[in-house]
Amino acid sequence: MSDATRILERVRQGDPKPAEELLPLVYDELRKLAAFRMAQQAPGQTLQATALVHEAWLRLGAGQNQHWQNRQHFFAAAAQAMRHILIERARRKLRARHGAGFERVDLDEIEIAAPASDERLLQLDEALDELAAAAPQKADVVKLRFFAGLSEKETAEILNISDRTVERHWNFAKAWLFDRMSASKAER
Amino acid sequence: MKGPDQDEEAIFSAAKQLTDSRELKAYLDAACAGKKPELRHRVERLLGVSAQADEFFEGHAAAAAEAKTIVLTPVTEGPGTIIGRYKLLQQIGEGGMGVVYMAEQQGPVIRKVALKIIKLGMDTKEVIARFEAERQALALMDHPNIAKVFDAGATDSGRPYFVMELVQGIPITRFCDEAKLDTRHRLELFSQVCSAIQHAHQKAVIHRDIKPSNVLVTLIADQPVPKVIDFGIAKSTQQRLTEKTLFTQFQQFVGTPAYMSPEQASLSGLDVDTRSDIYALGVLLYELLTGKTPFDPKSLLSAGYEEMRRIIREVEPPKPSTRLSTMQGQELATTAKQRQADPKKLGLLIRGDLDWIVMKALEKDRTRRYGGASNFATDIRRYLAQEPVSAVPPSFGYRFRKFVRRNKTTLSVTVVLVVLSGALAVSVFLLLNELRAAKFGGITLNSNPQGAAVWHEGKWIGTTPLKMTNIPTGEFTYSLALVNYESVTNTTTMVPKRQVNDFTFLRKAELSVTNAVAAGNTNIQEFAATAPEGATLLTLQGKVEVARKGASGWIPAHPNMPLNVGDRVQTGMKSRAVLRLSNLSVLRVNQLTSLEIQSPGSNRLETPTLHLKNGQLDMDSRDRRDGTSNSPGINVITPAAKGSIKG
Repeated sequence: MSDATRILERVRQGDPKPAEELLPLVYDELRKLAAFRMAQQAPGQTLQATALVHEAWLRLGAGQNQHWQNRQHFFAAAAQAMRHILIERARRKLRARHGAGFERVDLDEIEIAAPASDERLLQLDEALDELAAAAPQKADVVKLRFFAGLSEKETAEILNISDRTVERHWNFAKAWLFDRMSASKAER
Repeated sequence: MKGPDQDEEAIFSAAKQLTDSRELKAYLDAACAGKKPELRHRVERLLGVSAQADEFFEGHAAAAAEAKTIVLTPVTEGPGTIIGRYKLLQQIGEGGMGVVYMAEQQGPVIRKVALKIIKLGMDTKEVIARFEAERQALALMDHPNIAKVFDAGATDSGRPYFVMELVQGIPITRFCDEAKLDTRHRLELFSQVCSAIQHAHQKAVIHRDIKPSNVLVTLIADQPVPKVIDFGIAKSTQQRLTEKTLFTQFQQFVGTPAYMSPEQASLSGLDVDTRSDIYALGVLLYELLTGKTPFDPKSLLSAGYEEMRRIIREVEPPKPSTRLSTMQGQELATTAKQRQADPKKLGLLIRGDLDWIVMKALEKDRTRRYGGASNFATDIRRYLAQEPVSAVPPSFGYRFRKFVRRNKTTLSVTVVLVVLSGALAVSVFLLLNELRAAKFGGITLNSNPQGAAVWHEGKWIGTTPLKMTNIPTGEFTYSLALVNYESVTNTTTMVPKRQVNDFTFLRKAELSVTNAVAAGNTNIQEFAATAPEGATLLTLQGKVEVARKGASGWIPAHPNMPLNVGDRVQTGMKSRAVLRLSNLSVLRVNQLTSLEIQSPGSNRLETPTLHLKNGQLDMDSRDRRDGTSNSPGINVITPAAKGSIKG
């Protein structure tokens, strides 16, 4: 059994600690997966971040009889990991650009198509933290939908809330976050 | 920063649905009456950015959803539909990938055919192009047990279809069960299937998808005749089926995991060759004998994709007789009845030679399987004639090696570390000193395909993908070497505090000479005359002799002359990249799992374990069973150690 599967199994059985251990594994898996996928593709191609998350789930999740709690933990971890990967990369790229003026833009070893520009990603990151402090469930919806690419229905299942609630949260959070992002842009 | 409150959200949600500006204003007037003015202000602001926000957040979501899974598009064609020059008559079958119809070919010859329409949303042009590539080979096949594939095309709805010889029969497993064929008769039927596969392999066609539903038994003149169908189709359609797309949008697994060979289940992208078909034949025989496949399909599917592949690659399935012995009551009784055998005696009948025949075909290591379908059939024939078979139970040495192989990574790393530590310790020290200067960068080396050995300053430092840090700034030169690919030397400039990427696409090494060069039994003159410049002639007659072709002819080299990184060595039909590590010589023989290392201290290449056989470099394997397979593993010869560790 793979490490991740073992951890997921313990989670299912109610052991709370393993959830923390899950993140680095998921993180690793995503990066490995991305590197592998990239090796398969022609140069210049990029990978969809959310497609990677989905594929990682197919690989690590224990198949068809997956308990919803495992999925919750997995996707929460995956969304967090993917967010981390993308934000870190955006930060690095921006630093490089504003930095000592090197011509060559150095990239992270994984060429993942970011869902948005670097600046936007960083703004989103900050705004998301604010939202998480004030309305955590809304922030969760955004993390799962945006970074893990889950549908409304899947998000509802994982967070154990109704589809309608997810829709409400998503609609509101989008506008709220975007407003924050535009405001912070003006402030710069 | 204050977060959203309930009012804000509720009003926003309701307001967002209103498209008419008057209605909207009226609503906001009513909803925000008596509340703090900032509330309305905030809601209006949110509504203002709402459209842009949607675009930002939703924009990529659609693309992602598309990338996730393949979509099964329902087949809309039905009886009566005309596709090309075929008229569909009735549906006769349905599988994971497609629907099969009986159809009538309208011209130039009127006949009934089988027409299979592929369900999956695929790049139809690509599929058909690949089919065309195989078509000629398929046309050359002419065997009574192979259903011919005639044609391929695209339906009006854009889906690929294939036209094949119409075989009205049922899967071989079902046929044997329903006809209650005993073990002997099953084996005889099976031999015919082997003969068909052998024929195909001789025409360089691999089936790739052998399973009961692709081996139909039909009655011709009252005789059961097995026919293998779907040749050439799996290859055309399968290349697009990467792991990701093997799941449909409902997460149903497409394909037959029970019949998947270990190399198909591995991520390293090993080429599928004829031996995968042998494996699948082994699974088929297993099922014919016991009624079950080596691995239970339900357990495979419920284990999750990653786990399923690990099982296929690493877990030894129970022998057929063992499988029978673990069957209980009703199941055993039914199985035995379908084989006209006494439940108590069926296991005994299969135990022994039949067990080993099946297990040989199911070997994880494809070099240990039957070399060809005809060898497989021969062993079965021998069994039926009660002659000794070539398949034997594994020796102790073999089982030990399997143990070592399972733990290979730990063992091999230890070996290499021990051997390299001397030289490496010195470089590490030097590097540490340099660290103080804080002028370091990093580089990540990657290649396609991965697994290429990375050489730097004459030392082997790892395999791609390889992340390296703390490299002094300045030029960094390294080489990539992978067997059967051309070696590449790159120079990159290191940048301080930056991780730089280098991605190299390796080119397959070209075969420059088609004549085999073998010690003692080949025309070396002929080879010497036709070899291009730069080719290296390696002959082994108890020791390594090397000659290198220069611009004006062959330069005889000192016997035992060490070879250089990037030398391509003609030793037969294949050329091997030869790698060298200062005083260590590493000769890559087989794919990534075979290496031979000689330690420093011995100043000549030790060759007792190398010999040339059938034009291929072969390592001395003591436990060879049929005399033709290579022994994989890491073979380390040090002055101190006697013998070798084989993994």
